Amino acid sequence: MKKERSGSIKAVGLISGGLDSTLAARVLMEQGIEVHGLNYATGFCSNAQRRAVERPGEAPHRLRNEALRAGADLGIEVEIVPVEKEFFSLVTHPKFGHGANMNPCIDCRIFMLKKAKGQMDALGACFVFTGEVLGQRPMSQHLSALQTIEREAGLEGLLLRPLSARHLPETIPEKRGWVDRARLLGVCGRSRRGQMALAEILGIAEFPQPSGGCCSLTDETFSRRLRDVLAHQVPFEPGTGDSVLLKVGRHFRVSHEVKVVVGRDEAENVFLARHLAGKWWFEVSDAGSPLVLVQGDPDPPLRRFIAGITARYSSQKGEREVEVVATRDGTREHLHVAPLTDEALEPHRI
Amino acid sequence: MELKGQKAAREPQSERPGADLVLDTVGFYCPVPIIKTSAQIREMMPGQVLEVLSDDRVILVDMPAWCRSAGHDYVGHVEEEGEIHLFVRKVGRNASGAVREKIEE
Repeated sequence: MKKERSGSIKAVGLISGGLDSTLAARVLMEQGIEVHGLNYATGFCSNAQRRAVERPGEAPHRLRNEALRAGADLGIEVEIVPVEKEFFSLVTHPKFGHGANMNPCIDCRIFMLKKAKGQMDALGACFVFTGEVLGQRPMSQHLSALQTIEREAGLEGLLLRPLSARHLPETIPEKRGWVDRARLLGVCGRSRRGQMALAEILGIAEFPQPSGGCCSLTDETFSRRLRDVLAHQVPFEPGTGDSVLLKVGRHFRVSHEVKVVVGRDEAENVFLARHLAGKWWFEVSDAGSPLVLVQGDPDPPLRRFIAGITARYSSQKGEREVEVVATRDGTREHLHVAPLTDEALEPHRI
Repeated sequence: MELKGQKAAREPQSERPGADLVLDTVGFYCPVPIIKTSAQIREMMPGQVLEVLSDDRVILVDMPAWCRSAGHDYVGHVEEEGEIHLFVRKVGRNASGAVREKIEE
């Protein structure tokens, strides 16, 4: 094997903006590696969904895109790459299965690293790196999973995990001397003490606190609702309001074709109000009322049932009869119904 | 001294900067406005200014960060009728010095 070389060594890396990927980039930059960050927009980012529901008083910096912030702090370009549609087919049919919820973690890593390999080739970079830590996550970061991911992504020998490199087989960048293995790390396990200490040494102060994942697919409620959408063949486009809708409000499946979303507060009502075109929506006039958005076309008996749900979550839930207004575009109906009981409602909750 | 791309994002400018192109991202969720901005800027000439319309208030944090990350100038923003107009000046970038090693088996 012979090598020719001129200029600096360039690497592409998956940058989430979390501490691990930030440290991985910095460790390589300390060795003079030119780093290009990649961040794949899957349409299932919890943060994006929190942003769409504008809660008053929520500080904008808490909702910022951390990958962009990390790129700015590191002084490197972080390219955000939209992959929503392609990624969704992987969510529904993952080769390596789902985790505890709808999270296809191993397939997700393989998917992103295959993409990164393409970017590596296009940018003339030498290798790919990630902030993965051996043993940190149960599904995707144990040794055999890391090896499977590397092989399936077609990156054998060209995938460097700087934080755990000393526990892993030597990669081509290390063998070739592009990267000094002695200056890579031997972090492993779920404790973050080593990363925190390194962050202090490197002067990295800005990073999001680990919160158990920023991917909605790891969320139990979101996953249950996504399964419901798939089971009932509801049109769903990730990365749009469809994803956000699965995070917002209380959800009730009232028939095979009809689902309702009940706003839980003013911010959610405002968000739901942006999605009324062509749909039935319900509210109690002149009272504290949720906005109840309907997906599907309910017949008159079902509209009375939905009116009962609306009354149940209004400030008039203690009344024997409540007037609920059902609206769709120019049509308005005034329905007089009793608030639904929790016993009647609970079987419909998604 | 104000560093390039680090103009305070939260205070709107009193005067609207001139723009060569306008990109409307109103109604799009994060990170679509940044993806569209990046794609549009790629097509522009160094020195040209892109005006980006958005109704996502967090873009006031993200756009300056993206400019710092990608090496463009964040000129500032104005707010009009509930929409945010952000101005980004494309900065010409030097060709990368990085050359991938050619490996011959």
